[in-house]
Amino acid sequence: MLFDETIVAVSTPTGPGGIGIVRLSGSKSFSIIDRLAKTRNEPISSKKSHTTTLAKIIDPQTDELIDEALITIMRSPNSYTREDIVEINCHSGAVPIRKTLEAALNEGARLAEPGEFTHRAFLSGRIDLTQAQAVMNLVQARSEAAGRAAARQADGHVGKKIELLRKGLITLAAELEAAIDFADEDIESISPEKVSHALKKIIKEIEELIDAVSKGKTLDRGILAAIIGRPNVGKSSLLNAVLMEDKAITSSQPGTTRDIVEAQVQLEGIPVDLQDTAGWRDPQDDIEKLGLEKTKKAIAESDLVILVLDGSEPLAQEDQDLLDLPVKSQHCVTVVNKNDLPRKLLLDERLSASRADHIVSVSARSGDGIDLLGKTIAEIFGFSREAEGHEAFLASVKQENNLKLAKRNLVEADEAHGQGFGEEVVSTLIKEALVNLGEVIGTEVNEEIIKEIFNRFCIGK
Amino acid sequence: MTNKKTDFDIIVIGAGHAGCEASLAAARMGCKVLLLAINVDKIAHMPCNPSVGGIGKGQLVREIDALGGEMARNADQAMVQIKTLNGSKGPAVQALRAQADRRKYSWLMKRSLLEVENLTLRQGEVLEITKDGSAGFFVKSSDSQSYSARKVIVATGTFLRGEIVIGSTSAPGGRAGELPSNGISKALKQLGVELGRFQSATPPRVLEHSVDTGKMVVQPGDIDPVRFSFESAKRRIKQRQCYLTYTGEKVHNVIKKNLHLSPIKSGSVSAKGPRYCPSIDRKIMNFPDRKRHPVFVEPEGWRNHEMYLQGLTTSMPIEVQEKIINSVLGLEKAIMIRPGYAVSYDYVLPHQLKKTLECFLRPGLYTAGQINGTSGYEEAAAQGLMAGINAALACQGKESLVLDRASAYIGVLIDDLVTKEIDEPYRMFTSRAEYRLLLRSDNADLRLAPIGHSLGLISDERMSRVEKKRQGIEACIAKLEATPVEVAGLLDPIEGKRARKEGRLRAKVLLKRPEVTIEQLKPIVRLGRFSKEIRRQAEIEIKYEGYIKRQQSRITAQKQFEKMELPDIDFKQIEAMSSEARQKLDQVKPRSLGQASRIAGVTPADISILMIYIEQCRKSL
Repeated sequence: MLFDETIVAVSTPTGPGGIGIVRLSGSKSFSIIDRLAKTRNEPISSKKSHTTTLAKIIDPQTDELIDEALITIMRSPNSYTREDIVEINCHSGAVPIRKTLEAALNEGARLAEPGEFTHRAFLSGRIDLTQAQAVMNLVQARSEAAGRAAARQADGHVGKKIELLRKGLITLAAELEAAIDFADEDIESISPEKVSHALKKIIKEIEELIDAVSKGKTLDRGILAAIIGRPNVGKSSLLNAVLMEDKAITSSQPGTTRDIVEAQVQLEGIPVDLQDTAGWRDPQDDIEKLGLEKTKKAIAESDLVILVLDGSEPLAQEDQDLLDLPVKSQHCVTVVNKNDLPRKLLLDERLSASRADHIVSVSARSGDGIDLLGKTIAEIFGFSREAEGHEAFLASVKQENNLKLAKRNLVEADEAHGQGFGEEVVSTLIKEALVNLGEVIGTEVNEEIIKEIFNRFCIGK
Repeated sequence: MTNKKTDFDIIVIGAGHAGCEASLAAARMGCKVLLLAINVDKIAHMPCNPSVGGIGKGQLVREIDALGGEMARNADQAMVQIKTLNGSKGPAVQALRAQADRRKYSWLMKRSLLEVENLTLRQGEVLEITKDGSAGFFVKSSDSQSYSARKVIVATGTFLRGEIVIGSTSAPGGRAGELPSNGISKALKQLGVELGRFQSATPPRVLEHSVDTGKMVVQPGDIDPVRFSFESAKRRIKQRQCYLTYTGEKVHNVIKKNLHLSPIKSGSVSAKGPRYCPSIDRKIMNFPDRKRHPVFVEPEGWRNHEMYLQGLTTSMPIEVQEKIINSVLGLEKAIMIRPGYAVSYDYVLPHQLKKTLECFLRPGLYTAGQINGTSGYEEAAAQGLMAGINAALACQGKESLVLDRASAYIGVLIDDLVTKEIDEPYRMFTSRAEYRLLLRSDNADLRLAPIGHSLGLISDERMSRVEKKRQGIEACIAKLEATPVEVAGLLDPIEGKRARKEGRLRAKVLLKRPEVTIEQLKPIVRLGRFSKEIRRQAEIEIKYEGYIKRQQSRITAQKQFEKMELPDIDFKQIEAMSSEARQKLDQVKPRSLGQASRIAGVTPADISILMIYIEQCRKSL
């Protein structure tokens, strides 16, 4: 919202093959790109306006190579927003795009609000008056889409975790604030040890959540997906259909696949490691026993479980066992195969929420629905070329960024507390963290805290 | 209608804490002011607790002083005890509270009013306020007098259709023993002002000699007392003691047995009351597990013979109140002089006001104090001062004065009032101020005296003292910045080992550590030429520096946003915006983008759209 801030966004939804542009606008754009991009000789910022340079994008915090990209710079005022603009053309898939965006955020850029580039362009006079209405409509439409994505996210596992963290912080802030504002009342104030303990606990939880979120992105090695199902539902056929080649041997003979068959594919620009597992049934021999062990291990290690069911047959006991199989943190897709045959399978409503969320009907034989499976997986992991999927992706970046900012403030709060600074300093930092987590303004946080004080303490002389 | 000459520039209605500050400020700024009081024996009366200040409120009093208001000086003279609250906590949250002699407070304020030039004090109950064409307003009193003025400030506290409740009886009253004002409610409604209803309550008072203070914990004042006003002389003063006792099982049983008689239970007090000031009956209802609640027994003056029972607020029937009192340790034989009571009253829904406290709908009409839905003498005085200043500035054709949230608690108070939904009488807490580390009681003069000076409310002489102080602090910080210090010499032997490794550090860097004090550094850095007060200020500035800096970019941004004024917009017309945002904006009618951004339900995207919309309006002109 503020013009001295440099904003960053992925300006195109990530497309097939994962080409996308990360765009920076603002006074710090050039200094940020100089820290991200390694060129042979002079830094990018010294290049002429409107020139493009090939450079390696390196994460300055980990020195890890993210991508090789074409970088275009546009100097103020000769740009869309009339500010310094940098466009980073990533081309190695959705993962590098996201990593580039995150690196820019770590270097001090702020994630652009919906429609903010256009908004800046308008306010700088780049867009003429007749388009004002269109610009306002665009901002509104984008923000609505972002709002829906954020709402879906708030409903999700991470969103609920964040809400719990927020509640913990509100309680802690209420304790500290009550000790300040109602010090002359008969309330029991929280001990320094408790403050320290609570802060450390919440910091640890945020760290775990950041870990889980970034693991959920499974960016480094691609998504590890285990294809499971009872024998002869067409797991191997599915693998081949996705690969569009005959990698796994298939036959109508149950138990054809005994060992795990691995293959790597790009689905919607995301690398996915597929593991075709042996059919799930009571082992008939030692080899099958071994196969089953391996399948269990594969499930445990995977990020995504693709459960294949045979649509042309009623639900078998093994199917039910697999549906009931407890999944830990993995995402699940249920594939109903053989949709070219008459449907006999009835999925009952007892499916757990995580299972029921993503059911895709395909025919591994004809290839029907395979596209949809790819899109579903991309969506689950926050990558999609659909507009809504793009918003979901941005929402997840924002969520992770907010968690990191909150953690930074809380670590500082803990340090200040450890050094002996008082409630007023510790609480100020906690409130900053609350603003980070809740994306609300400071005065709203204050109201929440005051409300909590009155719930917890008998105030009033 | 011709622009005929009015009798006065400004008429202030009501001589409570808001009305007094308003009329003093306006008169001192050169306006011809009439102050109408319903009873000139009750000027700046304290109908509830006999104290001024407190945490959050004490900061307001200091700010009033720095802007040239009266409350701090008056409290310093009328106090019977003064204390620094939160003394063991950080300086940002320390605050003063004084117990005051309520009668002395009242007559001292009356004397100030009578001594000021341009100010006419008159007793009279206002019946009508009417718009006088373009020239201003007519104010008519019950004694058939009619006065005209260009501006009117209504500061009538809890008097608007006031209704006093004790037990099952309910009677019209503005304060105990005083009739309410029904005319003004009607007049405001006729002027198009929307009113709501709030409730407040006060505890009973007992005869001083009937209290057995021997059974209670003594609560003395500070040994080395600080004053509210930066101008008050620091001399030793005699102080009175307060006492602390507790309720217990016996009290709680009396209340539980009679709960059906409590007006909050029977519903005869239904208007919204303050959460931070619940009656004892409500405390027992809401916190049934609490074995005891504190009761502070406070003198109401030097020779007043009445003690205030802070913590026993109730509007139960009188017989029950007596039973409650007599079940408290040390109050077994206490004789009640005045019962506690609840009062419900009309208030002006404050979102109808600009930040100058002028009504949107009726330019020239201002409201200030408890009438705006606040509670507390300090909150009232702060608004009175700002309304008085702004009415005077408007009379003189000068630009108005609005303090922002990063400049003063007064700014936080008024911004909250006009922006937020106020659903209980509003009281200041330090936690409402997001820039609390900056808005301290100790630096109120540095923050606000220049403004007071530019208004003519702070003398040149006083201003030069503040300026000298500021320069002293800067020089002291510069000295600390420039002087390297051997770390080992400062710390105890155990820490010394670690410290030796650190070698020499700049004194300022060292002072950032919480365990290092400026007094330790004083002989090493040679700070003797700076006064203790200046050294203390330098120390506070340095200790908080890092944390204040973190907020600085937000403060700068906010000030920038605050400056982006919104013209008169029909918010409902902005079609691109969500209907919720349109409705909220239309209700609050923010005057700046900053204010708009703080309205609950208005998103950053809405602000974006608003910016584009204003730009569009501006360009198409």
